Amino acid sequence: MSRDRDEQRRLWMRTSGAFKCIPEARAPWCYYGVSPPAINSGCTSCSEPWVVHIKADGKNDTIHHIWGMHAAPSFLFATTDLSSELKINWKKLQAGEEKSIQFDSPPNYIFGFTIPNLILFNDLNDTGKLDGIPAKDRQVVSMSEFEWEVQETFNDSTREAAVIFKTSKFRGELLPNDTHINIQMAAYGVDGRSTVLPHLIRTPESAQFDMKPDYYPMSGFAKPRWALDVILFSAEIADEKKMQISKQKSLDDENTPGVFHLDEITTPLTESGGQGGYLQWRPVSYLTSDRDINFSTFPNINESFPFLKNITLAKSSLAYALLGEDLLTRVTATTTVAFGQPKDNFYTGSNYTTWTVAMGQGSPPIETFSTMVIIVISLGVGIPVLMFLIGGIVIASRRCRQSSDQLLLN
Amino acid sequence: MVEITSSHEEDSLHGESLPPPPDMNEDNDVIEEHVGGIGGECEDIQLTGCGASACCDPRKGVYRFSALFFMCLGFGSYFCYDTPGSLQDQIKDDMGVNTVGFASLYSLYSWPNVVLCFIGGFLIDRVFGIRWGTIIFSTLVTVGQFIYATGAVTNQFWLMQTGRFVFGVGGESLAVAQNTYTVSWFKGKELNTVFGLQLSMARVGSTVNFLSMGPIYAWVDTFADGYKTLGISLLIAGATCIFSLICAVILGLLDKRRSKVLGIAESGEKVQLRDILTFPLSFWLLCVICVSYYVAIFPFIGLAKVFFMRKFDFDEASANGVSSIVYVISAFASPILGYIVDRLGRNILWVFIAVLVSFAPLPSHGAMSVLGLAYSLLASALWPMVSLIIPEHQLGSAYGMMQSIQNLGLALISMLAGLIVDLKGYLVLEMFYMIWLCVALISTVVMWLTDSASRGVLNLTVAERRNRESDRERLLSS
Repeated sequence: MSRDRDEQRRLWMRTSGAFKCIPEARAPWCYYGVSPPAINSGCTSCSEPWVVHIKADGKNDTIHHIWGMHAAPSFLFATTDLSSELKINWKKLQAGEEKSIQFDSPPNYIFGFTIPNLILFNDLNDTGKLDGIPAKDRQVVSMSEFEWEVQETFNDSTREAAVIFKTSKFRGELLPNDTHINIQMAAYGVDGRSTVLPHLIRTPESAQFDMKPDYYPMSGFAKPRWALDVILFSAEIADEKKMQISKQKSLDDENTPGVFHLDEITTPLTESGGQGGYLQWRPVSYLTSDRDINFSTFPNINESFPFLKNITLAKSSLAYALLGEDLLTRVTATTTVAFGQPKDNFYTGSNYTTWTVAMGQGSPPIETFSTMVIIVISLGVGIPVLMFLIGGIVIASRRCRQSSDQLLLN
Repeated sequence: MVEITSSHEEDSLHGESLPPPPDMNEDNDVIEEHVGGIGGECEDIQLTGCGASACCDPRKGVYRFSALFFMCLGFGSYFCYDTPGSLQDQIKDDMGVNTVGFASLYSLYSWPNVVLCFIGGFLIDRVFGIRWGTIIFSTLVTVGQFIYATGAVTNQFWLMQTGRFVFGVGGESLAVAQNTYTVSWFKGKELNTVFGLQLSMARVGSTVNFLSMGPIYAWVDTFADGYKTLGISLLIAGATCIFSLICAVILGLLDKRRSKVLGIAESGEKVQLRDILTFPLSFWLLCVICVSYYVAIFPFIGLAKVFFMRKFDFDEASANGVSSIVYVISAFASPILGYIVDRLGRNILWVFIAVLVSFAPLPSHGAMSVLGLAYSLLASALWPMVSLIIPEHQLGSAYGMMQSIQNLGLALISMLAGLIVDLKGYLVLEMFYMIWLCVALISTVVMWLTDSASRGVLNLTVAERRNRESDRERLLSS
């Protein structure tokens, strides 16, 4: 039996051309072997986690998950041939020069995002959105003013590897213990679903970003909220096509109670059915650490997605270290994500917010009903029908019997 | 408007579609005899001055109908019962509680009434008397509502919960008192009509609440903020309880005058605990249908507003509107459907149809409309069946038992529903309700089959029941 399966697998590998874990044709043996995280590998003078590298080896390609927390936190993956290794020129990287991160052979694909600035704003109208907030009510804090440290690393065999980053200093000063921004990044090698709310779907070619500003001081504003400047980038050559956002609505909130929407950003290549990049998230930001839907707010993303025009904004990111000035000729998008909705008591109401986003290659995974739901729906439809039939048959047969008894009596 | 609706509903249906419980009949028969005995003397009482005018003479219909207005003393409790439902989001946001905490505001009403259904009537009959009983329970409702509102004003959720508990202690017994008054005043006259009107009053109370509390909160929000807005809104809602209390006092005075002039003693319900052990299987099946259907409907209505806002992106006003469709429809449909079922019989068939159509996968407005009709149909057909299978002298215990089981079910399921929404979401909650509907459906079919096997009367037409009865009488006499 297992020999048959192996044969079938080999046949599938032969006939499918480039071996890819395409969601629609995903097979159980489709996985990537994830390596433990390598932090600043080869660097002798790195106080911060400049480059965290996780290799995920598939059958005939490798996904390099590369995350960097120096200056603008950056999170990306690059797909290369199996033999291709990451090469970092630490001197050039620390000097802020372009293309300081390279591979043995040019990568087939790159996709990721970087956060150059944190924006604090005074939401006097209590909309939760950044649109229409005047400059005097905004305070832009460059992420390069923070220093980061690795709080913890996880490595679950070859299926998952994760790193928790935490801010340690702001403008050179040590931050108090209970005041920090916390970012947890995880790279996955198999299908599944995150164990933490909002329980996003994992694929063998995906990673998950989870950000939690905890007791971040928001002094100065009466109705403070915060937002992020975000640059999305890819290796796709830019033409007129931009990244697209889609907002789906489903019947199912089983995995994320109370949230029926699923938002996605896809690159033009993914849109056309290719192996481009995607971001996928549930539009919910929890306001407590136990992630209760009753204490949640909304991530408001600016959906115009203009291309990156000024390279200065991206210069302190790994996107520049990898792609350099070429970034301006690639498919990119600049946007902001503001966290809030009317009557959520602003950031200071809870001093805690989460934002969880899945990032991956290919088409974004599709939400489906769980087996339990399918069984209950089947029973819910089947039992009434069955009852109707049984009741009808029993009563009809009884009547027949009664009338035949009557005939006999007569 | 979750549990109280059902239980008030049930109370109302005692009289709406059925003869009142036997204990009450017996009492009233006794009363009638007493009245008859001393009636001659009463008839001889000469009223003079204003007291002799039609509106002041208890022997005249005008006096009786003027009291009908004050018998709407349940309005306050019907209205305030659903203030958590209509202000669900505001309570959760302003008080910072989750769905489980919010749902406790309903279950804290239900819990005391798991027991009070048995003893409420007893207290009115034996301890307080109908007049003081009504005033005391009405006072408890008012005090409960104001403790609840004070909890919001002071941002103390435990105080709100305490208020709901006190409100619950008074609420259900007040409904019993209202029924007792109705039976006492209208028996042998316009009893069914009055019960029908009271059932509609319950619906109107909750519908007005659902439609008005949102705007009241929005208005208060213009001069107050946060939990204070909520507290002031709930204090305003409390005015309806004061209205009810005033009704109770006036009704007490009218009843005292009526008793004095007509020489009537007080009536009330009695519950005999031992009788429940002798109830047949079909009664327990009725209880299962009742509890499994009601727990699939009422906890859902309590959570429906946020459900419609989250799932269908309704604004608050629309979500409240859709949530109240069930009540609006049952306000009109219950008396009509009750009348139809009374005329046609075939109760199990109606219950079966009601449960079956509740499965209908329809869009929000359609689903809630169908649910409103189905619920009205089920309530109209289900409760009368008890009187067909339980001997008359045990009817009080039977209804008390059924109502207690229903309150127990509603209290447990309301809490569980809140937990499911928080942990597994609304889809699983819908699945959960579907399972309960399946239980109701299976129980209905089992009851249908057992009744049909034992040549029971539950699914006969009214004419067939009458024939069966006259056959039985003929047999007995021969």
